[in-house]
Amino acid sequence: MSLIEQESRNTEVLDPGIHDHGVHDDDGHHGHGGMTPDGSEPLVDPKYSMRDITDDVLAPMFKFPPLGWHLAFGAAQLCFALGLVIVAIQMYRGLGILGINNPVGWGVYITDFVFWVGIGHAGTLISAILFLFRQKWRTGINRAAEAMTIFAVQCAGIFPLLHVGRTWKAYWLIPYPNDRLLWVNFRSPLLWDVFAVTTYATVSVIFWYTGLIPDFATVRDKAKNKIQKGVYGVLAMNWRGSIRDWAHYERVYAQFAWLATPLVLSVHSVVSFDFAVSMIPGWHTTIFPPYFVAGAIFSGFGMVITLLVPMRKFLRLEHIITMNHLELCNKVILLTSMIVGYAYLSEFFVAWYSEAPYEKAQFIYRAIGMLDSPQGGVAHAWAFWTMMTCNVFIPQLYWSKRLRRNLKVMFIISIFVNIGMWFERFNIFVLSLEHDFLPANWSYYQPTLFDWGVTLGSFGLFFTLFFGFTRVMPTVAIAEIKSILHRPNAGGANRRFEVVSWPTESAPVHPGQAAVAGTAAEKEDAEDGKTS
Amino acid sequence: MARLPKSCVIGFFNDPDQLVHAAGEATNEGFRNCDAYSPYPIHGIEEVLRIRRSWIPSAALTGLLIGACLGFALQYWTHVIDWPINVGGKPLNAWPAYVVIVFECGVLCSALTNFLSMFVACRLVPHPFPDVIDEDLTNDRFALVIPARSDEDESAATQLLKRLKADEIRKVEQ
Repeated sequence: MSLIEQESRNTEVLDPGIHDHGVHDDDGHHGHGGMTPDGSEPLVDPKYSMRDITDDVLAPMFKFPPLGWHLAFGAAQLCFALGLVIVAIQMYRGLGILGINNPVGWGVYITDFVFWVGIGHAGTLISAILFLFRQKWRTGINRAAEAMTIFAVQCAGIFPLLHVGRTWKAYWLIPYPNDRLLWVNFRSPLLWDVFAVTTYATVSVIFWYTGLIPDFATVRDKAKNKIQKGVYGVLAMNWRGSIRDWAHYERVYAQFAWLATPLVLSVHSVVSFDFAVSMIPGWHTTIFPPYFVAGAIFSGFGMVITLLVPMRKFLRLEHIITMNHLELCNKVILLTSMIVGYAYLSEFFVAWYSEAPYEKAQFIYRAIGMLDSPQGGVAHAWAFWTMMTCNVFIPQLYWSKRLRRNLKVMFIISIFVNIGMWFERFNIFVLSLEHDFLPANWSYYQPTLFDWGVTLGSFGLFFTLFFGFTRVMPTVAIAEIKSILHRPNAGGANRRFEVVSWPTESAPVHPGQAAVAGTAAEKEDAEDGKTS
Repeated sequence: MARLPKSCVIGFFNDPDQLVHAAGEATNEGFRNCDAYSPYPIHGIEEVLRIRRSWIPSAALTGLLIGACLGFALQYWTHVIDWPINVGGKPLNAWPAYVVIVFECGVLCSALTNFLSMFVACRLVPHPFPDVIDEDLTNDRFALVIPARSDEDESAATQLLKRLKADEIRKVEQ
């Protein structure tokens, strides 16, 4: 590389206007400067070279973290430590210190379990399903979203193990030849869950690591510190970037996507079977699998926004994780919000239309009902209305493009989505159990501080892992983002690269250009057919 | 990692299009077993360099089938043969209830086969300080490796890379 070129690169990196892109996006104007000749907006502004991308993504890994990061990391660790203490107390004293009672045997622990499993789904949707649909914009956010998936599934895994009571015997869930001469019951949905969640966790981790190998190699080759070089060298597994290796790698990656897609849909379906296969009114419905999957994607994208909005700001990745990415996530939130809203309403409709008295009574109880208790009438209708407000009403703000592209608004709405989805699970599990068939059975559920403490601990674990991740791993898939970089100067007779741009409504598409775009896409399809 | 040939000429480029072009020219000039290095996968260069299709898909499919069969066998053997329990007169081989675990076992086995096959196919091993050709090959540089068995090969390859305006040309003898 010539000296002049190197100099121009350096000035580009030092240019203070470099991270301004997001500000312009805030008020809906996009595509200033960085437009392609045909008027569409490229995924990454063409002024950034491959070297810029590498440097910007790896910058946080080669610097000592700032004070703000230490404070946030410390706070998360503190919450985690508190959670561990409470877990220790709960293990010593038993499940009696929690709020669960008879008949409400599934309380905050199971709510937390389903909440965290659901969070994970957005990451797999982005990494696998959007990959299969050739949504190239996913490359900007898939790494962070997959990290979120893995950390969320780890948090989820804790709760059933605690909930079994004698956690030290939790390995009895695994079928293995034993002295008791017993086998697990494979006809039980609870055991299906064991298999579904462990498979999901394993596949998510190896899929994630596969994506990280080429990026670890980049870190290895860029690192100046000897220890860092060695550690990332081991993690990079001697990856060199030979085309022969890439040919294998791409097949492996695509196959992971093909495996993870049905897997992620199966996981939350299986979680919903835990409820749908039983007989409790409010649980025993066929709508549960698609309803749970849509809710999981909804909550997961909520968490993606909660994590990415601060992350892109503090790690200065606004030019890679752009406003367009966030807007598309918000559109997914709007869509899935309406799917879950439809599911809520159809549950009510079916309760009325089926003339099943217990089902009807359950849904009246959820929305406006009271239970008699020694302290007087108590109700959990507030939980139901919290869910409706956060999940159905508030996301409707996203019909406005202005709000979809406003960082503060989307961050606040994403918090509401997280809260709403937690209460959706609480609403389904706890309210159904509180109000089953016989009035003599009915009982109010009141979580204790121990329930909340363990919940806080799980958030502490999640954020400890995520904050750690942002400092020790490339938070963006560098190799993938390079493959979609816009290179206006690159060309020639052998050009086989497509121009990857955002689908913009404002882009003027002339009939001639549309035809050219069509043939380019067809050509690529033909190539895909040849190689696959 | 694909191994470097014993003696070869390496041409470096700054642009993936140039690399594909160069790979095509080298193949046309009669050089065989060329390899290319790139920070990200370049589509279309496999055909130019005549790289064979990966065998990993067949391995993963085999893994899927084996995993699914094992999943079913485990459930059938425990519930029908080893410890049959009659629950409400329902059949011992209640196969619809087994479907979920058959699916999960199949996916798990296939994913693990896929993952491990990648390690075998790309010869991935933990290596703290590997001897990389150039540190920018995982950043923003591209390389074409032309094996050269004889001196004539070597000079022809060098000539070719010069004509293709390679950024830098290196000769490697091991």
